[in-house]
Amino acid sequence: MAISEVDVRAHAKWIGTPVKRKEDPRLITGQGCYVDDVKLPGMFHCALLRSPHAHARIKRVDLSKAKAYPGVALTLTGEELAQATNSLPSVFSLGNKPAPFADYPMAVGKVRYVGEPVAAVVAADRYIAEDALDLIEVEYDPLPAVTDVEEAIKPGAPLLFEEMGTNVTWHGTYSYGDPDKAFAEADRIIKRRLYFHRYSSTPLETFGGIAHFERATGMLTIRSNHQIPAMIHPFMAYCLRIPGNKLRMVIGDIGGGFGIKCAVYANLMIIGHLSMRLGRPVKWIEDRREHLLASAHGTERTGYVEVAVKNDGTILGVKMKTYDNDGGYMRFPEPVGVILWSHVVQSCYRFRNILMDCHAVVTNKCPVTPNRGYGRMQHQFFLERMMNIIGRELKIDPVEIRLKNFIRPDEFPYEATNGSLYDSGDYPATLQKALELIGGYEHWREEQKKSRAEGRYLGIGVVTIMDSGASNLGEMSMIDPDIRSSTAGEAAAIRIDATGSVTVALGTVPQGQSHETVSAQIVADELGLSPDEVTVLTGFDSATHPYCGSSGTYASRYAGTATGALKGAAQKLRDRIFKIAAHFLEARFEDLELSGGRVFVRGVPQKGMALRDIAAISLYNPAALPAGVEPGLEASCNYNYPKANQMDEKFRANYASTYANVAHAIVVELDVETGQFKILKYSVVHDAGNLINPKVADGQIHGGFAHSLGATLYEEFVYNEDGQLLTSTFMDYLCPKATEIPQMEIGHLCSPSPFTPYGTKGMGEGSGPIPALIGNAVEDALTPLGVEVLGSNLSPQNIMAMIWKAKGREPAK
Amino acid sequence: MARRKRRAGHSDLVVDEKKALHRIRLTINGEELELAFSPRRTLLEVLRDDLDLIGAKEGCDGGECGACTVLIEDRPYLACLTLAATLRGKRILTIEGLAGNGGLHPLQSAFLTKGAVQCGYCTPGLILSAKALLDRNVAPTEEEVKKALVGNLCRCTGYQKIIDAVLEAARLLQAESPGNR
Repeated sequence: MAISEVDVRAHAKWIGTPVKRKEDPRLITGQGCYVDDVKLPGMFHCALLRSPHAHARIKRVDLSKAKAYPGVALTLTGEELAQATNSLPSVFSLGNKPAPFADYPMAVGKVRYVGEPVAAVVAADRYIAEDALDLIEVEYDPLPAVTDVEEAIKPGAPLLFEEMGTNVTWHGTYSYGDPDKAFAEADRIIKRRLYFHRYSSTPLETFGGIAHFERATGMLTIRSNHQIPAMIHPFMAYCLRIPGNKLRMVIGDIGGGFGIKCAVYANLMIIGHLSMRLGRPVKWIEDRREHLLASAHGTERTGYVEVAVKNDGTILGVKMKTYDNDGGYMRFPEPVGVILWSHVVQSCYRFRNILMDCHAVVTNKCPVTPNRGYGRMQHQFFLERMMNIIGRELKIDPVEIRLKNFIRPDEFPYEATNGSLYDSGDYPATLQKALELIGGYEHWREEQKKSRAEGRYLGIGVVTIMDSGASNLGEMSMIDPDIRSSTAGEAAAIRIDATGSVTVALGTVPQGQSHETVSAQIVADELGLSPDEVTVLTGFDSATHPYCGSSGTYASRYAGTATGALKGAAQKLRDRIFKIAAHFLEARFEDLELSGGRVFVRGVPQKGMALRDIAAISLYNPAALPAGVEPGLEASCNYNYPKANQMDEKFRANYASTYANVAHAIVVELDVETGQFKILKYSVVHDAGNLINPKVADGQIHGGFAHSLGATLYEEFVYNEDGQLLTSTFMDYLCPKATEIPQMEIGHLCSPSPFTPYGTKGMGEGSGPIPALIGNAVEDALTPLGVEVLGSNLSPQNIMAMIWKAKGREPAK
Repeated sequence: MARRKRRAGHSDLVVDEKKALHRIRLTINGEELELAFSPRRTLLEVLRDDLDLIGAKEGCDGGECGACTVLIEDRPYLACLTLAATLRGKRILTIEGLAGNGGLHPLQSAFLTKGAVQCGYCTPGLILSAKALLDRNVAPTEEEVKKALVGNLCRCTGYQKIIDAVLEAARLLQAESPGNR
């Protein structure tokens, strides 16, 4: 048997076990090293002057007083930056087309959202820099602002980019199956306008970076907390007009990311340029208000959803017209969020006729970027709300209608209507288990009857969703078919040094996902060691770590991609180790085993060699190696998911790599006088195939739940009509605290992926549609009042507004 | 943009450093120190910038997130809102001083075994808030733990594992206490 065909699962000692995290000893003792913890000799500090207007022309910027302020080293305006750099590449320009508008990291001529950077000051310390900001005089000519996406598309709306003649920056229509036929054959067509609100997962560490340009070498090193440093590396080199090998992106510990930290690159451009001008390190750390106001928000979407159904509840097809409120600019990877429904086009269901008519619209709000559940949760929120609405209209129970429409367990691997290859799953079993964990569906329906008789409002909700992982960047072809991409990969390198110790480097940039731990588990199993004996380098360095075209930590990609890279590199090393050992032990390659830091003949443990002896021979005595064996014990693997493909002419591709599925069930009791509710029972059952580390997997479930619960109950970026953000501190943008998280039951099912090395699947974003779960439960509780939930934020005031509306009364002022 | 404005207008270069410096003695992590700093500086800045004690983090600079929590005379305080000049003679504990000699405090051990850490940015503050609780209440209920941690925001873990860890640490500490030996 060839070594490469060995399934480590057969002899796994560490994969699948709750190994303690390797990251924790430094993090629990205060020795984590995040970007703001780094000080460099001669380091300057940067502060940004930001726009107080949502939409205005910049008539004049006078920096003279700021420049003269003691301690100020350099000032910069948007115009100056635009002259010295190339505009930010976007998905619009990647296919070698002119972008519809030029985009720079600081305002040029006009500001388009409150908080947009207008000028920068570099000074000896942050105090001086901020004092100097006060001395900058900017004369604005305010323009009418537009914040509502449906106002922004009307003729005569204020235009953000006059040169475009519209605020719709991108529009695409995609048809799969035969939607018109499905709608013609339907018994009923059920339509709703639904809305997914604007929030973000607001990591506790804000954005930040330190740029350090060394004049003597021409090398610009940027330390930051960026989530996709390898992907934006070529963009930044292009913008700053330097060769790629003179730009080094370094990432240390990151204090949470959740997608939002993909957007930090525009700011890194500013400090990169400033450091190049000064030849000194320049540090910029965002403050909390800057983060909430002007970093990046999650996607806000309005959707007109139509579903063609049979009277028995069979869904024949779906048509959606969507409008994403993308804020002031379209920064990479937008407008990809608009079409990321492509990962979960049918969600868990069998309907294959779908028409998506998607619009990306700029408004005078903060730009948007990926946020946990990016693009998929909005789509699944719409579908999961519609499942319940359809059920109610057809008088079919919400559990029954889901069971009726599920893809069947015997249909896997299942090719969805747009070419996405759903790997495995048992959706009915996942839902049944979630219902068991809340104490049984029938039980709660009985309780609900009793409680209604007592005038209490009990509601039961379920959602069944996909937690797709490892996007195939082929989805960018949906925006522009001239962008050819099929990268769903990761890279890893493993070295065994002369002491026999193992060091691993990856292209991932974890922000809490425990990659040092899980990578050590995998390499330990492959090389017959314990995870304690494997060092996995913290963070990322573009100059020394391996990486591939889609490297980074986003879109739940580790389990579907990095696993393959680690296995590939480890198997190359195993192969070399066994060849050397076979030669010296005069044994057959096939008879060798690797365990406990030794290679030995199976069944004859005394006949063996220590790993360090093999390393020493390969390093110091290459002439003794068998013919054809490369000296040294290091190997790397640049892995691409084997089912990743390019988009075809019908807009079909396997847009993600793994397709975990999740069922959530909830029981709430609602107070119709206050709009508040108590969560009586909550369960989540996740099927992500084999889990590398169950403790880490549960952590992702708990954390994702808290994000989405917060988003549903509290968190919202609320703007007034002038485009001023009203929730710009943690005192009014409310995140859940320890007291607000209910008890939850977690269950796992295991449908291994047939396509990943260890049967694992990405997981970590299966909580996105929790607003639909709670919406379903609230609507169920309020059935006697006839309330319908059409939005994703269910704060008490929003619930009260729905109750008032159902009762035909105006909200109390 | 507004980060330091409420204290700004007095950047170091425009005040006479020598005249303005404030000198105090205080104890940090068991070590008695004499420090000199300008009176507008916060404890968080003195810890991080002058003493290289980087375990306390800045998450909001406004007393809203708890990432900068340290113990002053055994009680949790937000270092970002505490002027260092007010701490004459006080005893301060940061995460770096929680366990001596490279060992772990039971809270740290419990955070590790219970999976209570993800990105780790909130962790030092949470551990210190929990220590203040366990110092005054050796056997807290789950509800008491939640209330004691309400000033500390965590965006990764969803809190449950943190609560489990604090309860576990309480058990560990009780098992260690002399009365139970």
